[in-house]
Amino acid sequence: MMNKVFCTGGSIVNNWGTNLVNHWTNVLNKDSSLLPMTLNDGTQTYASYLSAEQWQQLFEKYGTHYTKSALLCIEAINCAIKNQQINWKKTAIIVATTKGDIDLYAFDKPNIHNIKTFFHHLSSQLNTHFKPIRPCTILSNACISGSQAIQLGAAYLQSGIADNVVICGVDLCTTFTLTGFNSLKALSTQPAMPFDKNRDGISLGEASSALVLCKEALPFNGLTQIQYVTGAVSNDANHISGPSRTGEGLYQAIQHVSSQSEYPIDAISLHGTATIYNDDMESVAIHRCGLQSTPCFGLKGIYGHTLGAAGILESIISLLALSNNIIPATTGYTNPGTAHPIAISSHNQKGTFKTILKCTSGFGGGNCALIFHKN
Amino acid sequence: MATAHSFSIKINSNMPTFTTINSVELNFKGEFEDIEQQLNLLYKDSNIQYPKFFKMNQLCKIGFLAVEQLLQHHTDLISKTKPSSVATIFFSQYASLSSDHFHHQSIYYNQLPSPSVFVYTLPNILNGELAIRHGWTGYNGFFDVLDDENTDLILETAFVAQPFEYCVTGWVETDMLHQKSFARIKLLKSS
Repeated sequence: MMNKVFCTGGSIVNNWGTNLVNHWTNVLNKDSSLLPMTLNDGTQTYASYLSAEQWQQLFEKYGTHYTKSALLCIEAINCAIKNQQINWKKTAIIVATTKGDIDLYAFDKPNIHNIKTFFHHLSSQLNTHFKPIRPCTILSNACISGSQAIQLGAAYLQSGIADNVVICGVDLCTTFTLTGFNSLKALSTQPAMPFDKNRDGISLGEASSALVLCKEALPFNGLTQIQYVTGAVSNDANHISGPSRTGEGLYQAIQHVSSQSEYPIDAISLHGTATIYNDDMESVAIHRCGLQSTPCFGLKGIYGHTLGAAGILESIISLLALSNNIIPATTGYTNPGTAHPIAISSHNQKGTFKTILKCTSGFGGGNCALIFHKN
Repeated sequence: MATAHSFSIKINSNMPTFTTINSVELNFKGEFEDIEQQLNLLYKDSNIQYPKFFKMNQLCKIGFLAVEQLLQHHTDLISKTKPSSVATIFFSQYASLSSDHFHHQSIYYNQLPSPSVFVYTLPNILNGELAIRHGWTGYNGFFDVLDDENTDLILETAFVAQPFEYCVTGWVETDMLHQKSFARIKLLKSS
């Protein structure tokens, strides 16, 4: 019998700051952290990013020797553990990121100058700052990184490697990523509209988010006892940058976690990037799983696509949804328009929600499904 | 940089054990373009018909060719296994460095960025390429690590998280800093 794993602390850091109560209130008010943005080539899009003043505050708080992604991780981890006694001698860190500090890469400089851009530099900054039980592990599996890191973190606890695991996701809003998604013609011209019939692409989001997993049955952020039940990772084996039309990989991941969980799914936090293909794929997979009537929501009209942080950030909001018995509205969604109809929330729904499914999909064909349950 | 924190905790003894069925090591040295040519030659010599190979970045090319060799005498074994029971787990220090470099080049010179370069700036595209080639739908992970200190632990805990029957795993590297590329991979069976 596997040890039970509890979600005991969580945080989100973006341009709204770190106050999780404010984040939840903003989500329920259908506020968006997305701001208009013009790229070098004149492309108009929307993105969520920290202001120069906000960065300045972080540098002053922790020191100018840290990179931006390390600062966001440190801030998120500190906020996530603040209500809990964490013994770092018994705590491990897993970081999920797609590109880390890629904005520091200098093409015209010899490679040695670029050491700060490499993932292991982020890892060593966090090792030095927190002194965890093991060197912190960096998982880079595109947009499923955050969710997959939670699945791995739970296994750290179940294997007895640590008493606590802090999982932190981070990605910055960089020229690198913006120009890349623009070259794929994947950026929205308006704030992202997940699952809406007029959706036209993603809005990028800059954020970090941390989740504390623990063997001890402490309540999540002092609210309610919430358990991480199970998780599964799959691959579409179909295309490196396009989702499967049949939703096969996501279908398999959901089937896998459903078979391992004794709890009926009450709600779903979807990936909902607001591209035509991703949202259609999810609707197909949800239908195939028979979950088309289960209330579901997406958060990328609020936070943008926070890439490596997305699976963790959206899990934190999912845990708040369970704690508060409210499924939030999907900001940006007005008119249904996916390949199959699914029960996207257009307004905040009160009810009894005990078990939530978190879905994530990404480039490279990866999918991840997680189940959380409120006791 | 502050001094490194040292780690001394041993991995828990209740960990799964794996049998190594086969292992392959490919090593290349030289300028990026030289290695690229060597890899293309190796592909031609191996009589594989897979035109997608030429679209791949160097990390995927070397990983792809190493896995072809790894499975050469084990195709039956793998084809009899459920696609969802085969995992791919890779470790790397520089991950997608070469593609990152070329995407940065287009930004630096204000050229039109190439979507096919950008996609490969995600290191886990290697897992995706292998999934497409072999039909594997199981666990897939790409981890950035500085040395071998954490790799066994990651492999074992990934198995605890989601058991597999077979796993293709190991180090893959396109290290432009030191002008080398390599793959050191193995095929594991869980016992």
